[in-house]
Amino acid sequence: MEYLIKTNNLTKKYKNFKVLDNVNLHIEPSSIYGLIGKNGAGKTTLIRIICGLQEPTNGSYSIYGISFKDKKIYEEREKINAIVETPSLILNMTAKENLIHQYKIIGMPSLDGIDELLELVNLKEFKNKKVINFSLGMKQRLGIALSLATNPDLLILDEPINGLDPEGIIDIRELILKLNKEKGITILLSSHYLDELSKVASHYVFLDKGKLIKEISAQELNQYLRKKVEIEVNNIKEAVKYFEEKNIDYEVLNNSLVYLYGKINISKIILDLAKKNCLVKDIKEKNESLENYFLKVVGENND
Amino acid sequence: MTKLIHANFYRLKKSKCFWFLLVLMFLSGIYIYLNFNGFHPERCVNCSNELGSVLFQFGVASYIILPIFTTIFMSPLYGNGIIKNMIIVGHKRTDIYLSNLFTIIIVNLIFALFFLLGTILTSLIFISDITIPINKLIFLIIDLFFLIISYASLFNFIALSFNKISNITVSFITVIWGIITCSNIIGKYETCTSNNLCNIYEFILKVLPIGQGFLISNLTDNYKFLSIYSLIFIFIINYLGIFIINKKQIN
Repeated sequence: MEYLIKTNNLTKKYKNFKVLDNVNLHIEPSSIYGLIGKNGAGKTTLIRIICGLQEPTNGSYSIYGISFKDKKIYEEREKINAIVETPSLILNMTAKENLIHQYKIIGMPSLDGIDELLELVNLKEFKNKKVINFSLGMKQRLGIALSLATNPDLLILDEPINGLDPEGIIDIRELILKLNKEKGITILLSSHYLDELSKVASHYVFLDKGKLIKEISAQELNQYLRKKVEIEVNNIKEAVKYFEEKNIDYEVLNNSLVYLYGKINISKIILDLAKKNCLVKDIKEKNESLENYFLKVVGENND
Repeated sequence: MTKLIHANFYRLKKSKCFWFLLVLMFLSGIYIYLNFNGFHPERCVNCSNELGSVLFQFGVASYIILPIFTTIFMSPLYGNGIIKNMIIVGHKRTDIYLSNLFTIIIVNLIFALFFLLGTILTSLIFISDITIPINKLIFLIIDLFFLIISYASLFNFIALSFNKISNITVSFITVIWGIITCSNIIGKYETCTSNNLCNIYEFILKVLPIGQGFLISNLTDNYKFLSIYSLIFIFIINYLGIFIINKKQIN
């Protein structure tokens, strides 16, 4: 499979401090990637390197298989666009003028499509308003419109909902989903708002202290996060036999702990197991959130 | 690179600072002409080169006006992330540097034109003429042309090598230091008696762009090789500037 972006042991050092440490990332087309990490984990540095704003210290990356050192990389860069930290806007120009300026930077032959872009980001009625008078949410949306002017295959958004009110967050979320579903744009999105990420992402990348500690699809993650009951038994073999007989979805953790999934009658299970000389010592209901999963993954990285 | 130049000119058209400074240049031409002639409308009978003396004052005026323009016009490049955007969409850093250089050169040439327009229109009203020998006049025009490019190169270098705040500080120091230093040296150069000392002063004035500005505005007789000094300066400063922008970590 040709990856849109592929990094190979990507490392970035500032003097003796390693900001990125042998990161191997693979971005598949048509997905929404959530890039998760604490402050200082290296998310923005990773994005800056991929966008060509900084050079890696070691390792490499490629866009559509073209190495960043190849002269053809400039052509491949035209297929991606990004908002890194803040959108690049000229404050004393209007929204429309900013888009015209962007069109000239990318060499568009005409000004067709500007109104459509503004409509897509719900800014058409503000097109003649100076950007200096825009709210943060409006600036973010205009930044996305500028990024879309290049008709990119990949859109990278670095913490796009920081500082936005709930309405602004919903607007950005709906726009991201629309761009992915209707236009097939792959999106790499970094955010601290894990709950928001969980509403859009199809893949997650966990970064901690510059290291990529986990790359997981939403499907696999949902499997892990689904509601479950953890029971501790004194006879795991009998317990497993019982679960098999009753077609109960289970997962053995070790020689005394089992996860049970789905709708179960725990009282009946306890009684039935007791008849088979299998005592249930402890019962816990587990409802993992993305936050808990993140903390667990980061905690394992620190061990 | 042409795309970047088009984008720059679009932004230039919208820049109030550019239009304001254009008018200021025109008025400066008028003011400097009147100032040189003591604000007397009658023909200056015992003066020579009165228009010629004024025309080349742009060599010094530009050193003050151009950095005002570059600090205001180019501050959004880093401050608002315009350079960041250009790199992200696939433009080479060298092209970004050169397209900005080209824009600043054109701006400085337009400033020169408006300054000259102000001077010449005023001289028509007050009836002046140019009495500089034609050979010298042509050389001085060529020297001034290369000086315009030198100034553009210098302030483009400062604007693209430093962030917004440092750009303002460094430009300010460059202008003040240059004007004070070279106005001191030009005074000493014109009155020096020792050959060695005169040669040193002359060399400093030729090497520093603002020094050349003073020499040209004073209608120096050592005009023949000034352009070569400018060309060397232009080459070095732009080579350095391109090197720096290619190594710069953009945040």
